[in-house]
Amino acid sequence: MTPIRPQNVKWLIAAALAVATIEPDVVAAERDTLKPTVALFAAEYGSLQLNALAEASIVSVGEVFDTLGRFSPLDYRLCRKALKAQSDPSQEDPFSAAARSLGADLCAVISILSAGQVIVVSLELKPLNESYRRLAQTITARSTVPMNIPLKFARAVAAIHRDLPVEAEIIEKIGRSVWLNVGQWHGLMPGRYRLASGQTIHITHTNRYRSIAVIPFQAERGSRIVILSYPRAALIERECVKKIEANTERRYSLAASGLDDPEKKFLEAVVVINPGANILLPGYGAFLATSYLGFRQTKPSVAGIAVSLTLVATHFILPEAMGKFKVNFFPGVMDSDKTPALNNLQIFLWSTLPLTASAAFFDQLAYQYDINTVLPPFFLNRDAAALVLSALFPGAGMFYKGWRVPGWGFYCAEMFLAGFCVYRKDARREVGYAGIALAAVKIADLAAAFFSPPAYGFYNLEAEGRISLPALSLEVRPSMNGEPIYRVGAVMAF
Amino acid sequence: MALEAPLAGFAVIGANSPRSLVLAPLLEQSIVRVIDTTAIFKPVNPSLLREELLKYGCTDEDCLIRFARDAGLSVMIRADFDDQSDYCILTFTAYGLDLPYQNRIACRTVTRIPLRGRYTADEYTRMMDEQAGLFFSQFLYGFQAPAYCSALTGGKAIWSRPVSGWFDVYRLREDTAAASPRSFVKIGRVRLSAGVAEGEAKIEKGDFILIRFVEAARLLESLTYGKKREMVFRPPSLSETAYAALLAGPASAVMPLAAPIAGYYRSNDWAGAALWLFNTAPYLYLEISGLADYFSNYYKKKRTVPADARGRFVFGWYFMCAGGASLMVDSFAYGMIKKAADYQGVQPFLGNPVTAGFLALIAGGAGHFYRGLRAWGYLYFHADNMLLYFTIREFTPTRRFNILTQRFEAAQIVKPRAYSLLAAFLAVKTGEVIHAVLARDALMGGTTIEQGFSIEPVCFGDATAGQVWGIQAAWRF
Repeated sequence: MTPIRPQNVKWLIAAALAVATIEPDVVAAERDTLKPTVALFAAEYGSLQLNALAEASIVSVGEVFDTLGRFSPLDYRLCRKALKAQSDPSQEDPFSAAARSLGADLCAVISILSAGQVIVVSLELKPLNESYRRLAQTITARSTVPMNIPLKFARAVAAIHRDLPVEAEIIEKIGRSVWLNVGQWHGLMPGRYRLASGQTIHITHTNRYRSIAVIPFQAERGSRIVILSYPRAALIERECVKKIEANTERRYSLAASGLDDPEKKFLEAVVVINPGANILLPGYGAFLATSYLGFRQTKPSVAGIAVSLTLVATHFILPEAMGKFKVNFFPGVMDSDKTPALNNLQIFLWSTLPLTASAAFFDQLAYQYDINTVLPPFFLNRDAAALVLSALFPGAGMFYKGWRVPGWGFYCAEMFLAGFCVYRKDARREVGYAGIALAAVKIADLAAAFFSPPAYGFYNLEAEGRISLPALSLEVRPSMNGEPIYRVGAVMAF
Repeated sequence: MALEAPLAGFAVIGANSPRSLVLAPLLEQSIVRVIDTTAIFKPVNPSLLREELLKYGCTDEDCLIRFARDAGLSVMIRADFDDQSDYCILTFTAYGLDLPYQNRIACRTVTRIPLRGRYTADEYTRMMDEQAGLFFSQFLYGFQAPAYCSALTGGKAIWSRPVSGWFDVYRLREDTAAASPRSFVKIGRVRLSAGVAEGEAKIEKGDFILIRFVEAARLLESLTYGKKREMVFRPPSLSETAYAALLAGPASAVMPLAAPIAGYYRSNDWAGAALWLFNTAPYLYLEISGLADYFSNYYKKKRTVPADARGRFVFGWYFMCAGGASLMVDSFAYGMIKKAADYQGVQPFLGNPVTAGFLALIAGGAGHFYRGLRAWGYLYFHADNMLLYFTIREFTPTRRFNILTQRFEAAQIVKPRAYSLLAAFLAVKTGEVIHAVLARDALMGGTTIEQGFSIEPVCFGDATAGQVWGIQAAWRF
């Protein structure tokens, strides 16, 4: 081959391209790719947006198929052309027929349904080659963020690749070496691989689509082997999840609702605004402080205010009640009725008032996030953020993730145990047990904050993978004595 | 012998936004400059190549490889931009057409480039220069090109490239001439001097060696780093080190308040703030309790001072006057280095090895924080402070007050333990200073998000309803 020279570069590029782009069937004999193929189709809609979404999904799904090296996506333009050529109206499935006409091994059809704010999408996989019969399935997903639809498809397609080994065919045999129709594209590199039959083969050379292997058994040209090498689907899934989260965060973040620098505002609210508001109006002040984060509609959680008011009252009244309302109200001021233990408890309760005010604030925030469909600040690093918050404020990580009742649960448990340790300071054994229990609860709080998924429904709808929509059924039939029997059923595949 | 450099084609195929359409030609120019700099390949006009590839719809892998093979290219590199608003994913894929690759991907990198700053054409150009340099150096690190034995004359084997050194010699198997890929075997080793091997009887014309370009890769990588360093930092000067020496003490003293507010909060470095909170707490406790305990219970009082109180007192002074400087440095330098990495202006006071050495000397991890190496910084911060505290404790034994003589008497130190700890501390400190001086600043942009290699557990059901368990190590392109 004569190398390209500057003076004739354009013509040579054009000539090389002309050869390279000749219709695939013309140069089929020369092609060194014998990959199984998938034909991708999208149902057509009257809506421009849905059509664009369907095309973006096809691109995205095609990329995943190509990257994971099991099915090569056919050119979408060819697929559309083949679909249009299916003119027989009596034909039951024009998509499969079109895919078959292109020689595809698998047919994938994307359909999209817009149901109010939620977009429900499905990808139907129809194997056209008996070897891939187990791949027949319909993947359904939903989202309110259009940009997430292609990513959800991509993630689902990556997931079905997880347990697909490499299926190879011996295409040539010279001496002890065999040529296989699989190569780097399928994820193979020189090295030893196990076969499904239990033997080991040694791949000595690979190119993109083929490889040379030494096999420990007699095999004829055309025989098939299954190599136990699996695609790295988890990496693609993780990347899709990251992108879905970034899109969701962009759509539902406080910044998207018009607040500048939400992280700074959040910290300022926790450190300055909320304590100030709670000094003025205990309990309700926590709700007022949430407006600093610029929520469009603010509505107090009455239950949250009631709980926090009760707790604030407990801080003040508990020592009084324990001293039968005879002890001095202020901590540190001793009298004949106030024991040192009670004084210690009173100091503890007064000094931990800021923690209760913070818990009340986080609880009100969780409510505001939910009703405003807004995600908290630092949400892309939510696990670390929840962990840090829980380390600083009892139960705060759970509030942050939207779990209000568990948040209050952790808060009350930790405060009770800490208060008990302070009150029974001199009873070493009891304090020891309570200390161990406190440490255990704290660890549970931290673990729950870090590992629990967020409770926000609008986020979970975006984060969920494929869904199995339940099928409802209603049946009426007569019984033995002639009275009707009504049966209502819900069937859900999982 | 006139040597024709092998051809390298480059084209940006994927661009999904107006911004990436702007970046595409800039990246093409950058990669051409990089290829020209290394002089290993001859680049094909990338704009023309992209135009033609798109015109013919030759953007899928099969077509690209066929095209590159037909056009006689040795390497075909494609780049794809995936613009995600505040960041962009740039994927480079280099196909090797010659042996030993035979159309395989020789190198693939996926980089996430943050795009949150304000950029003009200058910044975009620099960014693309950097990415092109980093990719091409990584490509060259692993790339091998064949050099064939072109003639056998007078007992000498002449090779197509004037290289010197020992090389493995390979021969293509004749019986696989019609197959793809071609099989080749190693037939021995040869010593070349400027592309000539003498007295090698078994070498035949057409045998080949594989040449590596590691030196060129290192040079390119170092050039890319050096160029960026010059662009984003001021030239180092000793006056900056002098300022650092003057300010280190006060900075350490005000660190507990200044670092979180003026540093992390101001630069929105929330991860840094969280790390600061948890990592600094034990040492701040030692500092405050050590000083407070000593002054309230032992200062000018005729009481025995326990070793622990003395140790905390001395360590408290150290952490107040010098040790706290590390986190002060982290709170400022990390954000500034991020800005530098993102081409957001020229950053003062950074990139000076003398300052890095000085900071590493006076405060644990400060030199590494100054370089933007947070993980190393925290490692040295804890190692230094813990070793120093225990060393101080060993050298400050209990000071007993003798009521009879009305004097303080210091207890004996346990010499082997004390000097062992001191030696360990000095060893760590020496290593830290050298490391801080020699370390590079963490100013290269982008994060590699796919290395191509992974180890994953596997558990699958097979066709006979059995199970396959194991660990899979995969290198995937």
